[in-house]
Amino acid sequence: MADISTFPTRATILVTDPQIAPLRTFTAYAAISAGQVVTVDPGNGDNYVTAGDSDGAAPVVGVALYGAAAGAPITVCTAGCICYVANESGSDAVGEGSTLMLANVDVAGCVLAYASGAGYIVGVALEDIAANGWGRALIMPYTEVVA
Amino acid sequence: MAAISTFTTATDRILVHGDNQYTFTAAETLYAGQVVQVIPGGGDFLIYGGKLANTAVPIGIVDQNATSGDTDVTVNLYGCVCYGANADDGTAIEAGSALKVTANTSCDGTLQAWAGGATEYIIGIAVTDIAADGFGQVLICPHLSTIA
Repeated sequence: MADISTFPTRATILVTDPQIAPLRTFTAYAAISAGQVVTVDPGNGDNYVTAGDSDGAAPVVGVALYGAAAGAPITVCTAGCICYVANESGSDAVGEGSTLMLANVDVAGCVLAYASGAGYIVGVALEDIAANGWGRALIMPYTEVVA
Repeated sequence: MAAISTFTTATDRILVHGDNQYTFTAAETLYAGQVVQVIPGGGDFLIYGGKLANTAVPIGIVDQNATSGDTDVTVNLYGCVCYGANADDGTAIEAGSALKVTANTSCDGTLQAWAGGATEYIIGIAVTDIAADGFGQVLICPHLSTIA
């Protein structure tokens, strides 16, 4: 399994009708790309989001609707949205029905299939997510902690 | 206490509050008020009546009856309050209970109170009592339960 080395680009992230989608505005702590999974990291300040990585100690807030520079407002697709997410693997697809968690790769903001143990859950894949590609997911963040 | 064997027909509309709905394709016959899942290997955007054996997080509660292959089947998703059905005909579920996908293999898409002590798939929280063999209101907030 090979991890991707750069975050892929995509113009359209939101699938849910924007009139009903639960979207929230935050501030980008650092530059964020459209489609990256984001977290509110402890110590970064109120309502600042960063591209998430499972190495961080922060649960998932949602998926960035657009790209934003550091310090700029950023709209985030939060719990209940259906939107596109990026696979962390350059070689393995993620199957539909898979529970998705925040990936631990050099490229922040990607997802992989949850298997077991602790992790920051992003949501559920509603279709296959191709290797090095995008797929639609229902965003339902929570923190899975297994004793 | 006995597991119901046929899904109780809903007499009221399923959605109580919220507008977070999306359409999917029915992979099998579905009844209004059933919990549904997208299951691994089951096909893109195909929904199935929820059951423990599917080992998949439920996504919501279906808003209408459907037959296999129907497209545009509306599902009430995260944040909606809607009616769901008790899996048991002898015991009510109390308001405030976390609700898990049923282990009742004879009637998919029904609800049981989560008693803790095991990792199981939760569809949401009962916001009203759910009568035995009846319907009650559920706040949909799916997740995998956590054992402490």
